[in-house]
Amino acid sequence: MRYVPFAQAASYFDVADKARLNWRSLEHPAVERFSESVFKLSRLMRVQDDDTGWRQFLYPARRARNILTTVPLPYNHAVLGLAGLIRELDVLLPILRIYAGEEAAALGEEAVEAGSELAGLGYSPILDLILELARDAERGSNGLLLPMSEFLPSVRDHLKRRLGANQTVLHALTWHELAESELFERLIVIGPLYWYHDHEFVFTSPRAMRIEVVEWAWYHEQALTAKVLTGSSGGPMLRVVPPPARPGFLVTEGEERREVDWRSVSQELTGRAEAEFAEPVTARPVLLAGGFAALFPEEGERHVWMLDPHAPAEHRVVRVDVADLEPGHVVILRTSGGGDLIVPLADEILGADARRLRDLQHMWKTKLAKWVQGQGGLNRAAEELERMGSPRPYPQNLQNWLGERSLRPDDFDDWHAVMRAACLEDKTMEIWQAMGKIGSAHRSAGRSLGQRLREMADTADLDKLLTTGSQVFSQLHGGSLTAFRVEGFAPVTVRCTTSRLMTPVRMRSEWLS
Amino acid sequence: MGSAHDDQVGDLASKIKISDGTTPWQLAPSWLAFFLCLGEKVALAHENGQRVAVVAVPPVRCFAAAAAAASAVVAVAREAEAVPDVEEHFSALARVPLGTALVVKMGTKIYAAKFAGVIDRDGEPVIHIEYKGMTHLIPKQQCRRIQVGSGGRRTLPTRSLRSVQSDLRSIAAIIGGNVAAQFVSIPTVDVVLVGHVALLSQELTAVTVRALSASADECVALAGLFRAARFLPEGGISRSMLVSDRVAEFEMPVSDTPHVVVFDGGRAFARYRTRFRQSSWIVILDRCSPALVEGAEIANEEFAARAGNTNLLGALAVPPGTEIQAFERR
Repeated sequence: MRYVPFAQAASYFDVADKARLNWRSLEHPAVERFSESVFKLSRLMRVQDDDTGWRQFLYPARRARNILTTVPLPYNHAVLGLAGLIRELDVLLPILRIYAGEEAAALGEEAVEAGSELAGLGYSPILDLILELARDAERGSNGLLLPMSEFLPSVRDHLKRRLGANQTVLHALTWHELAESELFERLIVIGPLYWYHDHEFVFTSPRAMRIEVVEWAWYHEQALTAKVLTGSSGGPMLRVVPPPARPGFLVTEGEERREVDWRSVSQELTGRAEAEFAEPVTARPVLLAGGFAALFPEEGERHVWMLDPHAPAEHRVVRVDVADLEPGHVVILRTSGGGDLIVPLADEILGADARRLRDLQHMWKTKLAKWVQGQGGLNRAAEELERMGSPRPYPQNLQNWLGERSLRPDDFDDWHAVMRAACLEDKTMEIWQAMGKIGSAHRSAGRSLGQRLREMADTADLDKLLTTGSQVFSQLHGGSLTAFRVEGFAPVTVRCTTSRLMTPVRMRSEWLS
Repeated sequence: MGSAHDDQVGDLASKIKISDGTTPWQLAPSWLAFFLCLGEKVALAHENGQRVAVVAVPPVRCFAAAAAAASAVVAVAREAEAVPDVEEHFSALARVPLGTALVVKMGTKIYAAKFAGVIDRDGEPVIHIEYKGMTHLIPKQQCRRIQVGSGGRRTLPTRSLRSVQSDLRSIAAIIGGNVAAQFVSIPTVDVVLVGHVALLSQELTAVTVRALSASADECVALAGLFRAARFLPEGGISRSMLVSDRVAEFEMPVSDTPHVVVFDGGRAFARYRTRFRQSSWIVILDRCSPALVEGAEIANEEFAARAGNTNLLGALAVPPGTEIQAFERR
């Protein structure tokens, strides 16, 4: 959220009850053939008990369909990768035949055939229609709302090439930017409307006097329900009367998968069970801009660096509890070299002694883990620790002590018992002090990192972040830092090892909505 | 940008012109007048013993919460009983921990002080306070001169700051001289505004208002009417609080129940409404925010458990594209 000037805010109220909405229908035989094949395959898959072989084919097929029907770039544009996707489908056809039978294979063949024809085209029907609209001299400034943000920079570049480097007629943007943008004379929205259910303000709080929905002829719309409050008065005034359904192939809202495939996302993020002994922790999969996802902890240490591009310099980077995050917030994560931002900085502070201290840290945790294993699990080990004099021998505490993020118990009596258990009693003081040194370095690193991140956010050009939702900032001790906009949270939590937390992983785009 | 019509605006909106520095002075546009009026109406309803909630979903959240909160502060100051009940106030003071920061009015001056306990003097309880290295004993009957609050980081200046004086003139022109004097000198927490602090601060300071008949230099920022401590010069006496919707815990500086709490956004509402069960609520849900759905769901739950409907808004014209839910809370 950023500050919107008074006059701009007033302009939103001015158009709130005056905006009009029109539809522009698109047709293209090969795009329709491809889309119809993919939709029919999706329908067939829904009645299968085992959809393994279907998914392999349908994921790239859906991605190709999404690109063909939403991205205003020539179909042979390299960035779209359509030719590669169609080749992949061609290779997968035999597998589809084995798993799904002849009817599905015939649909797959049809998709490959139509897709091959389309992938070579040096134009796109959507792009042509949008350029035609932009040439309409009456409408000086047009916003172009794209459903897929990953192609935004390429679309902008292409529009510059077609309309001139300094063109202001057509401004491609995503819904994030639209929320705080100045009014356009016309907003071109690539539809159908139900693609915008999570951000209906596109229609209910319009940013233009006229909204033009560019939509393929086979989509069938329902009227928008814009009210959100029970027993309310007033509300959005945009009158939406969808065009009548055409005969033949039709797609309705209920038939299109728009939800994120959280099951696949979770599986990818949690990975296989590792040799790590520590009990898994509860985490929530979070979708990040640019097709990434990460697991954010639901328990234990839950803080993350958040960047607010519009905040005053001193508050631009702050540490927040992950529970405070919501879609639209920007988090800073390490994208290579491990998920923890603090450790490499702390090691820099520790200097030559870092290796010795980290070795001690590793040693006592390994020995303790081995001992816990020997006891037969956390619960029994906790009982034994109590006998050894630990005042807080709870399984949860023991698990934290075993985790990478904990350096030592707070209480020395707990520590003493842990050292006895790990057969390190003779090193009790030495390792206690060593962990204290590391702890102190972590605290210094935390303060220093905050300052560095603030300086970075203050001096960097944040355009890429604002446009695409992600931006790589700098290399930090061999690991890059990336700011990601949070796109969504999984409705359910998963169990994972702590090493999996806060580590962004690129997702297959077909798992996303 | 439509201007407000006399029959649609509240008292404050009809008396001011506004500007944000980039636009010329103008009457409050009708959408802003609505939110100014909303703040007044909710504050007055609360004064009359109702506990109401008004949930608004405008096309954009900008300035709505700030305007409603500022006008609620002014409305409470005009209508509320200026001084609390002596017994109640004394017993509230007696319960605060030793060393608690106080604001004390002595004659025409205001001082920052510390609470040093309650002692018995000639069979009468007196409040023992310390300021400027001196000890003062204030009889129970005069305890209303004392409020809990920091009121400045050090002992307040014995002379009012120029900006305070200047604010006072501008405020007096808008709300009247008698009310204005108390308005800037009695510390309370009549209104709490919860939301994105940096953003709300920018909105409250960007918009300036002045009385219709006043000159352009006799203006005050909306923040000057809202009167949260962070917007006031050192020694300024606050009447409201601006609370971050990201802060897990906060302490109210006084034990009073705020008359009105304005929640700017679904998250502020979701997190903090239970802290202010006794207050009346104004909730602004941003139509563009992903938190809209959560905020609306909570509003609908509260609506389902309402004590009754309210005709609080009467014939007030709702701004274009704005959805309103109003009810009396249990």
